Amino acid sequence: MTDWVITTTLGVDATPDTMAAWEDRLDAFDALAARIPRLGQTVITLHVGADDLIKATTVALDAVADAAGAEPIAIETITEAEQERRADEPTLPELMSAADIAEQLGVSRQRVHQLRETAAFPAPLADLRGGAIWDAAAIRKFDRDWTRKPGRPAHRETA
Amino acid sequence: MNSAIKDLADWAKSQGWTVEDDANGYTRFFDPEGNYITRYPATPSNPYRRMKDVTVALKKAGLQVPPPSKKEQRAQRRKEQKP
Repeated sequence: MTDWVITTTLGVDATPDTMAAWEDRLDAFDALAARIPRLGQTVITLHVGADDLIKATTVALDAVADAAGAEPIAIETITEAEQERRADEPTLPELMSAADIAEQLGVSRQRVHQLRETAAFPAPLADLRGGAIWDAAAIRKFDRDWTRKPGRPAHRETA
Repeated sequence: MNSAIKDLADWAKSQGWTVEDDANGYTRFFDPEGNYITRYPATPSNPYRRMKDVTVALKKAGLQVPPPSKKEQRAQRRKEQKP
């Protein structure tokens, strides 16, 4: 028997009282109702112990149809371990400022601004008045791939 | 407020959310536009599971959660290295 987490999405923007009533009716499934206002949707999350994913999904679909009187527009069934992973996962990437990048690359901040002009350097995620910010993963990749050329650039003859 | 939800509630408030306890002991979460999102009971049957479900629901509704800072990552590594 596996503990499954089934999230059903309803295409209705339910009121708090309606959501509370749904939770009460689905108390045996430890249900949680939550709104997604920007989409005009409501999700109901249920917990079902079942031998397989299909059985768990079927039980949850029947229970939601009975309790909410509506057919979901989407449904997702995952293990409880996956739900825990998603809860702990950040929504934002690790960010780096120019100073952080200088530390990562072992160069001065001025050099970071020179590197920004090169084609291989990652584009910032945002360029704010206080300075730009980058995805740390993109900077680390640049650091791995970057061929350093120590010393001053070769002197160019001018006409 | 249930102590299990305090850290999440404090973070949500720091991001412009409103978190309040109602007369029935539920902690209710509202996004920065004042939209009701979900609630956490005073005595959930499974606090750990409910905490995870509420966290996922708040993120779906737009609450941003950054990765741990370098300081927090170092502290976590130290914790994991301890026998």
